[in-house]
Amino acid sequence: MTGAAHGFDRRARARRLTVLLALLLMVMSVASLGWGAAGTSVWGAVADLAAGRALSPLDRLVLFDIRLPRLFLCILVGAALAVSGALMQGLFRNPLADPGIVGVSAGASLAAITAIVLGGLLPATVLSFAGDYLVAIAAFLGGWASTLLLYRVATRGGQTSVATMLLAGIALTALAMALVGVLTYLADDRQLRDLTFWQMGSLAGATWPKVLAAAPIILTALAAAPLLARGLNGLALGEAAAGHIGIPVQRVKNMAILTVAAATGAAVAVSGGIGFVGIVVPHVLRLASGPDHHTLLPNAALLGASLLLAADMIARTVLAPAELPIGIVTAILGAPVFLWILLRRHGAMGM
Amino acid sequence: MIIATQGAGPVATIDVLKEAGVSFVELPVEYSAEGILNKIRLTGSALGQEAAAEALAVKVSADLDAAGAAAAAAAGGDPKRVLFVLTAMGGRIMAGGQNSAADAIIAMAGGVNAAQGFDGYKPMSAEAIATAKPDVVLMMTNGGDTETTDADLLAIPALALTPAARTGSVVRMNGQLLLGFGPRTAEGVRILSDALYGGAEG
Repeated sequence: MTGAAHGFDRRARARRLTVLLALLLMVMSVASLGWGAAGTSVWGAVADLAAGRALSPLDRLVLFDIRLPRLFLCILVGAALAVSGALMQGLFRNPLADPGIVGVSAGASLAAITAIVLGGLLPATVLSFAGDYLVAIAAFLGGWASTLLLYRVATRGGQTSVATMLLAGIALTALAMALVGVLTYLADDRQLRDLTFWQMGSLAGATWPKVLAAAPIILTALAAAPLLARGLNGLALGEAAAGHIGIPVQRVKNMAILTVAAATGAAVAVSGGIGFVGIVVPHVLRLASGPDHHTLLPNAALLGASLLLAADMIARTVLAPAELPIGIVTAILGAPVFLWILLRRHGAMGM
Repeated sequence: MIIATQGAGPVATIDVLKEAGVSFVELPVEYSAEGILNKIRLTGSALGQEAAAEALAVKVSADLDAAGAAAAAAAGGDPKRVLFVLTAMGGRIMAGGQNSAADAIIAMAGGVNAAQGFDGYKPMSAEAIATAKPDVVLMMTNGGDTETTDADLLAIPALALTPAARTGSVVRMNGQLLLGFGPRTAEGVRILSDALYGGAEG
């Protein structure tokens, strides 16, 4: 670690960035609450509450049962995806890694689409128990199952080979996508529409039960992530060097993989396939304030949440009264910005 | 001989069939009484049964006129606002906007489509649904493997405050009858109109 002064500088800068990002998230949250197709104004509602007037039932519904759960779900999913991306890039020491790489997305997609197309074949007791959450439950279980499978494939004699995991992940994704193709073939018109829109992601239909189901899993994963910061910083030197400086390499790998599987699995279950957040957020932050995971991970959570809030505001108002799938918005907004940053900072790519 | 609806695909397959000399008739898709009669006449002429087709067309036309007039009379000056929900998977409501079969049949049955401002079947914003105030939610029964129950449907926040939820008005109909736009559409119009205006208003 030469250039300590330089490193110090970036750390201070990253901390200032944390404060800025926290402020940004607050501004975005208020904006998101006040912005929507119904024209309900959050200021009007606050004024009403302050003056002791009762909110109109419609305002109450829009604010507390539609926008507020959606706001929380958006923050959770955005933070989960961005932090998962940062963890995967750290673990695989590969800038292209994203949560999809451990097979979570492929497994979750396959399971969700199976539930959409073949869900009706399940016994009635299972159907009535799962109710409307069948697809979400399937996505979560599918994500977990595929991650554990990949993990077993890549682990030999207690050592997990990240290279094997990466390659097996590509194979598993290809297989899952082929099976999705078969199911697409079997699906009727209505299921086809459901599964297409599911793959493009959406935070519509956010309800308090969904927030309460996803929150414990995602918050636990987010709380666990900073514990991995030192280990991931060490891993940047290579696995052998990390082992020599006293990093419990295998434990870091286990924890990183399980954390990502939990956070992404829960996020995908409630929101479908939302791409790009996991790649673009950590990279922008690395370019802005360096690759130290101690600050990168919390900053990624904050920026990921703000980015997804912005994308969701666009998704639910640009075509109002219809809604645009949010995955389209994140890709359309994210991809050009990302390219522009890469081209502008060509020299800084080495990190 | 192959009779297909407009937009049948994939294009390459259709081209192969046409080149192979299979006679291929494409029926235009138009969601109106005129469109139904057109399909009947085109099918008739494709099969060389013009007279039979014309007889059926006259019968269906009269039937549709009668059903439409009865539906308009039942609606009176107070048409109900109807929201067609294609699917409500995971609390996301996919509604039928303009230029859809659902929009057309709702109008024919004397209702007003509550989903205004977009074409075809799209996910509709929860807030827009809450402010659209549908009196009735209309759904299809067939293909309903993972059917959303009425209670689950009306508990979705977007629908919770609507007149439809207050009165528990969910109408479920056979999809082909409702959206097929064929000889049975008059029957569909009558059933839908009865479901909308029958009972309470007598």
